[in-house]
Amino acid sequence: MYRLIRAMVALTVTAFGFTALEPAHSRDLELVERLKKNAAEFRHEIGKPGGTLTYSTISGPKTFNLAISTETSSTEILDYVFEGLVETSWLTAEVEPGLAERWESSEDGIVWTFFLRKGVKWADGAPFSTDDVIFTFSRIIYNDDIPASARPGLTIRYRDDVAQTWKKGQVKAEKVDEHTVRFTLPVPFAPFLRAMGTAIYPRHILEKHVDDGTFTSTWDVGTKPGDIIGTGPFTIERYDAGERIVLGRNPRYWQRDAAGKPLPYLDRIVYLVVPNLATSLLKFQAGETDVLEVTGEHYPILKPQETAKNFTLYKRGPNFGTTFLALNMNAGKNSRNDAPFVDPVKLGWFRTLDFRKAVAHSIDKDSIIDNVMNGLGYPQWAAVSPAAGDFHNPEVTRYPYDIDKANALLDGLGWFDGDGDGVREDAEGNNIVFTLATNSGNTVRERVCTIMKQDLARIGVRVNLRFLEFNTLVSQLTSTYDWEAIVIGFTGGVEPHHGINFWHSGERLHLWFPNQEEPATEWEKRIDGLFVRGSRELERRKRVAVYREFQQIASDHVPVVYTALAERITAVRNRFANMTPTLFGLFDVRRLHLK
Amino acid sequence: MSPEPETAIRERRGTPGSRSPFRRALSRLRRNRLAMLGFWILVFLYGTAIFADFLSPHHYAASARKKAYHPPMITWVHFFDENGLTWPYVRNSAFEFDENQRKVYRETPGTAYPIGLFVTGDAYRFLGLIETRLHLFGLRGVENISHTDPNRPMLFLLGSDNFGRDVLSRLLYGGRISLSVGLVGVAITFVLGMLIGGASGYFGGRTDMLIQRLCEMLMMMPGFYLLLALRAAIPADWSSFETYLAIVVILSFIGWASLARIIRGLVLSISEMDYVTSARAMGVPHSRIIIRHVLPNTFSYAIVAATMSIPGYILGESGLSLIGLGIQDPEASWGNMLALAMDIAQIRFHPWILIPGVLIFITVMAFNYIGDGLRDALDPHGVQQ
Repeated sequence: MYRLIRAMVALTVTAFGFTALEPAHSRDLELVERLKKNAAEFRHEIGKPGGTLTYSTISGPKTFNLAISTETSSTEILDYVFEGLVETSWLTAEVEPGLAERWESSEDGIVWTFFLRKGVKWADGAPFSTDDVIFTFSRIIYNDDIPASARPGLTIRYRDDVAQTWKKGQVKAEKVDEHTVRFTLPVPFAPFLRAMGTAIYPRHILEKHVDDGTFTSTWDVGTKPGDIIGTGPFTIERYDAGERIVLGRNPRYWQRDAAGKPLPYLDRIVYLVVPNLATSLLKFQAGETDVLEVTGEHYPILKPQETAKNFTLYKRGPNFGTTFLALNMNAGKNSRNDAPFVDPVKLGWFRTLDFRKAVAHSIDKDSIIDNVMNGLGYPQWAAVSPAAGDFHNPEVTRYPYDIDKANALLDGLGWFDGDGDGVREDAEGNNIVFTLATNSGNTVRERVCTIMKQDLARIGVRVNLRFLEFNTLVSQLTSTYDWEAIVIGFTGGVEPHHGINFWHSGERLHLWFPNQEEPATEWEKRIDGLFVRGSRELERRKRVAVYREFQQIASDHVPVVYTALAERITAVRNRFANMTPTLFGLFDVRRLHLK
Repeated sequence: MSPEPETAIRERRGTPGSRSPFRRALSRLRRNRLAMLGFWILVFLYGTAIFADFLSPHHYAASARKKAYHPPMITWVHFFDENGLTWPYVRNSAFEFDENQRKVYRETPGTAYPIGLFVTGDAYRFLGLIETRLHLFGLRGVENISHTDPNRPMLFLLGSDNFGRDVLSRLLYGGRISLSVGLVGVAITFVLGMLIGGASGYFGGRTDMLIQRLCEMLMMMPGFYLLLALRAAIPADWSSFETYLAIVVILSFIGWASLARIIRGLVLSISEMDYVTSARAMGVPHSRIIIRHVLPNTFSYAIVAATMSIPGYILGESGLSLIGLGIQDPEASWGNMLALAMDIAQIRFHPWILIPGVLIFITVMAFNYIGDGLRDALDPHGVQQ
């Protein structure tokens, strides 16, 4: 799907194509092969204009200002309105021309020249040119006064070999002529080309708002929808807050089909705002919407209705989003009262490798898949999802569900249950008890926690469950650091470099010990180095090796214990043509048409 | 004329006109069919809650991992084997996903576990005192099967939940929490509301003003958000029993204000009565006047109000547990059991997870019937029979 692809671009996806997708399970091999075959055999056909595609969404857009929006409820809509210089293919995940029709790069990967498509117009008729690209990069993305969501992805972390310090570099954009723009990078940066999918904004409309400092309040949801000007295939026609968003065909859109007819084919895309997933399901069953993302638990409801209600359920392989257990290994102290973030006794357990391994061995992934995902999921062992193609390392150290082995590991540490209360004591006689938190309302994570609690009890570790409101949880993770153990998830993409936020020891989201000046352990140091190397390595084969090595180290030291990846399932009404399920999407919304 | 026999005199004394108001009310209550139905339902429910550990075939947390959402086994009980009629038994079972990815349980041929009476099972303390393993009923022949075996045979008469735990056992254990929360909560509210309301009405003036404004402030706050805020203040490492108590206290903390206001209104008029004025004139201490002379006159209202407010506590606990802020898994309460039913797919394929809701409904109805009956029975202007 177009928007899925754009979301991936936003996550700075890899600059390289996909060769192999390692299945998590042998039974999935067939599915993966079929999806790859679909993509290889697919050819777009000439469509007929007209028609409406209807989605449902849990929450409407919070802003129409794509540059500063971070939540998918807004970006999902705005990705139809704005485009980048390149785009990612929904068939192969290859980078394809977008607003730029071609590009060149210097041998060392430092200088990139993009040749813009001629004749592209903004939705209000103004011509698109290099000035818009320069404006977007220098005035919006790299403007410190604007919290641009694209900035982290376009900030390059590198080690200055002369000064021996870490630096953060930016991409320099220069105008060559009206339709040529040159980018200069501080160091080679492998994810750069795909990151060029970042949206370009109209200078002739937004420049005055950047000048007078009102950019962050420009294009809020109160703006007249017709004033939101992009180059994308659709424009916002109307927005009734809490009710619906209607996107209309952009008649000035540049792309044409093979017969020279204008794209997109569809007249409208409608998003119905619904209160919850159950309503989404009901709306889809009632035929009011055309597309539905389906959870494993809802699959058995829809499957028998496929023929009668004229839709098809497409299984699309493991998800990118991970759910994992993390133990707090933060040795820091609160600067205000000098109290350690984590009780030193517990910190001691969490930093013991064999304890973490024992915990990993006691996670029953199969039960999580069967009981939480209704059997529609894949056990996860490596830090990179199998959905990310050959960056996924299938040979990492695995910790299969094995209570006896977990018990043996704890016995080996000399932690026994001396007083017979069912809970082991460490060498100093402290009961091994800790609090496991997750965000309340997320039933998947709550159930995963309950399964973990049961299993950890079997190895003599007592866990108190604590379900917290999401923002409370986030503030514990990123500012107060006073959590002990947590089950949480991260979204991911096909570009492994995206994981640097989480894996680099100097990062804020390096959950178990964030913002370290120097890596606390030798293996964290190695992972830091690998991430930096991976981003500078332009040869795909070597890059794959780098990220595979990182996954191996991560699996050997188990800072986090992965659980399971859900199957991606999408239901689509059988009214549309020019679509097929692939590993990366279902269709290009510009070429989707009614049968 | 011969003297009347003594029994006749006693009988005459026993005519309605001479019985105590309490006895009269009781007899009126006894004649109220609905109220008595409610009463016996509650006696039954509280009885099962008290003896939950003996009556339940399994511990509330006992699970067979690979038996999530097992359908109720009531219809799976076999009475015949190859030799004809036999002691009732069930077979072990295992699931497979069907073509629609639905879990379908099938009996495993060749296995048979008789349902025995007075079997040994999970250990518990009977009435909190005697350590025992005796259960009223359960499966025989499972003693040597490990509790961690994900596919072990268990008796799911009313089905199993999403972790493969017995719904019947959890209902029985959950009843302990869901049913007692109302009683404990009302006891706290009752004492607080009566005393504070009584003092407020009796003393009047500035005391009254302060107390009433405090009540209004409490009543002004949106109850549900106050619950959430107070719940968030409970430390994570509290045991489930402490959390339970805290929840009851939180619930009563919100509830007492409205009771106090009504009691205050009643007391206001009662304290103007001559006997109160004379008690005051005789120098009886205030506390004694309030407790001995004033408050008893509000009892008939208070008893009815208390009965009618118990369902509120039960629903409050269910509501909190339903959204995951009350009793935490694996502890059972009817509310947190019902949380499973928040997903349309689960109700559709596993309707037995709605049973706790049915029990909450029945309990609330029973309390309401009794409350109505009590109101009629305690009404001094009610028809004398």
